[in-house]
Amino acid sequence: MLKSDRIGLVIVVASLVAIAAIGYLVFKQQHEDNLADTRRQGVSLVRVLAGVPLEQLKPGGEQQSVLNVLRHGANTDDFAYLSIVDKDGRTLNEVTADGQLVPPASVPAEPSSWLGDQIHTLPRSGERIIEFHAPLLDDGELTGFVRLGYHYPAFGLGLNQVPFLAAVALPVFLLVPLFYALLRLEIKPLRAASDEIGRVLDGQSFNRLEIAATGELGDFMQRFNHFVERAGEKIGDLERDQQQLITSTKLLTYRKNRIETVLETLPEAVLILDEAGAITFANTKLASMFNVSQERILSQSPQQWCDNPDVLQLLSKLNKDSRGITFSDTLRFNLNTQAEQAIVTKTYPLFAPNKPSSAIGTLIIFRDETKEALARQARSDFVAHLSHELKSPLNVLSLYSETMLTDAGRSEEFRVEAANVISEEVSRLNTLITGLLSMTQIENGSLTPDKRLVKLTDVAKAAFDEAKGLATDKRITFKLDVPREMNPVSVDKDLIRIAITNLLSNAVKYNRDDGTIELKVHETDDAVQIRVADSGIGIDEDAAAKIFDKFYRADDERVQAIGGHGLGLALTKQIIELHHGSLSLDRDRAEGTEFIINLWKEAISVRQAI
Amino acid sequence: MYKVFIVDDHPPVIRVMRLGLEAAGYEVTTAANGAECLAKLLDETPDFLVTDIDMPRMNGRELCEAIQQQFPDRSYPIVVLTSRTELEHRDWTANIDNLMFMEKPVSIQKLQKLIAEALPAVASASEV
Repeated sequence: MLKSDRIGLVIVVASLVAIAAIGYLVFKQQHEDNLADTRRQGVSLVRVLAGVPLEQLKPGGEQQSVLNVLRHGANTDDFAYLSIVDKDGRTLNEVTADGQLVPPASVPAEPSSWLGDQIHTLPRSGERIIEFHAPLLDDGELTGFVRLGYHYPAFGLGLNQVPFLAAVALPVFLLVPLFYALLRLEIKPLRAASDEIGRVLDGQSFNRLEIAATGELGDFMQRFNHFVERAGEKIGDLERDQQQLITSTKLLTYRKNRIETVLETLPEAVLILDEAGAITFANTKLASMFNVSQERILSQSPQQWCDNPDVLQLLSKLNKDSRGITFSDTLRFNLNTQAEQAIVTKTYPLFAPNKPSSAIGTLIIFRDETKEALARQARSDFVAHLSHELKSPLNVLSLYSETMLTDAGRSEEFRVEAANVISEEVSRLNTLITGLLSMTQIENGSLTPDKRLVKLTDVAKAAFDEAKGLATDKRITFKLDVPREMNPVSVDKDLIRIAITNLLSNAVKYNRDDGTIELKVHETDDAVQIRVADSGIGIDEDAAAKIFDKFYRADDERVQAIGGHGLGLALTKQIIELHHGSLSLDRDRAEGTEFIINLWKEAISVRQAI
Repeated sequence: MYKVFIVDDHPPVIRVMRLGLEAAGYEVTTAANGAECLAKLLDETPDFLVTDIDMPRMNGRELCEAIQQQFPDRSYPIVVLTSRTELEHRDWTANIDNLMFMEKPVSIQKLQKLIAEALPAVASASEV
């Protein structure tokens, strides 16, 4: 709208300017014509009067009436004054228009300028007078001057010019709206195009424009239609592409997130390299395995976050071959961060799902097999210990039985010795096998303790008496400290007896000659406590951490010198734990060893004696 | 008479092996562990050495390594009595010359045969 209004405004202003210009030119021409008329009239009149002798022009002279006619005659509007002056400029006779002032005469000195005109500007009113003057001669002698003054023609609009102006302005005013209307009509298709573009911009569909125009505008409109249709098609294509792009981006993001979630959830540390060997993904487990942030792994070279030569070698190997590695590999190494850590690396080539021949990268899985390695080691140690423990008595049995068949073994003395040794070794084997079986049963949960209410003091006394019989040759002093009365507790008395016997038998085995052993049973607020103390070789710090391990035997020659399978304490601990109790070592002793069994009252349901 | 050194921490094993080997005509020296054996080797050099593995103070493996180091010119064979059948437990023997294994339970006859093969002169002497 604004645009078309501006055109209208421009047209109006232009037409006004045109009218003003025409008016100006007309007035200018008219003014020049008036001036020329006045000049012609003035000059001719002043010449006529110059031919009259001065005497006749003086007041009362013959030509006085002529002068009066001049005052009242034609052209009265322009006439200002007629003055007769002598040659010195003194006024001799004068006629003026009503109230007209006559400017003082200025007598031209040179004869060449006696005839001429000059313009006077009257003081005060600023009125301009054009004066024509001519000499009065008497026989060639200058006698005076005729001065004829007219009002200088005004530059203005006279009433008589209004019709002319109207005749000029009217067609212009009539033509302007017509021209404007024609222009509006002509640019109507452009307006429709503009409106249509506005509608399209508002999101509506494009309606092809009806072409009313012809010529260049018609061509333009045709091309406009074509252009907008093409643009619409292109925009439609782009919108479809964009929609597809958004959908596939969402799908890709979802897939990426899903894959990353899976990779994060894996129990193993994962590293993914692209076909050029650059790291593109590392899960948090890998970051914590190498004790660096994921960002550092992704942004820095492996040398900056990893100091393990095996890993660096693997990564550089994958880095060198830009075509992708097509092998699976297993690499075992220890990270420096933790002692005895076993990491197994498996490398898998990654292939494009629909193009199995092209490798797109490498997946490296770092599996922490420390626990498995320790378990393997423990199992291997266990088997080794067991075979040793089983084969040692077998070895003795084999040697004796074989020797008994030879001449060297026929003596009575040897047979007695052999019988004793065989009996000892069989007993040793029996203890070992029984212990192993009990332990296996406890470990796999197949041994259910036969819990009954028993007097723990009776169980303790029985074990105590049995232990006393083992130690006759060491002259050990035995002390038993049990309360006179005690509430019965719910335990498996056979298992508890084995546990106490094991502790007492250790106390005997590792005691010195003339040593002491004390068995003490007493009740605390929350437990029934059984303490077995001896004056033996004691247990050092290193050994204390391992004494409850199966087959563990302290690396001490005094311990090694004494027979044992290293199963007793492990079994004892298992028995006590089966009763939800605890077996611990009193670490504060200066001499010997003291084991403490706590049977928690909650677990063994202590009841008041009936 | 050739001298056989028996190293074992089980007194019954020592007794019965001594009995068998003395009957076969060998002179027998014994030690209860590696350390005791190593000390005795400074005074006497055997013609054959039989040792157990699991022993206090110095075990059979440490004994063999010590002998290899301290007596590089040793010519007598060593037999290690072992209950461990796994090969991985024998890796350490690679650096020790003239070493054999005999698995438990040990047969005196087999041991005698092994010694006799290593020391043929004695075998023929005992036959004489």
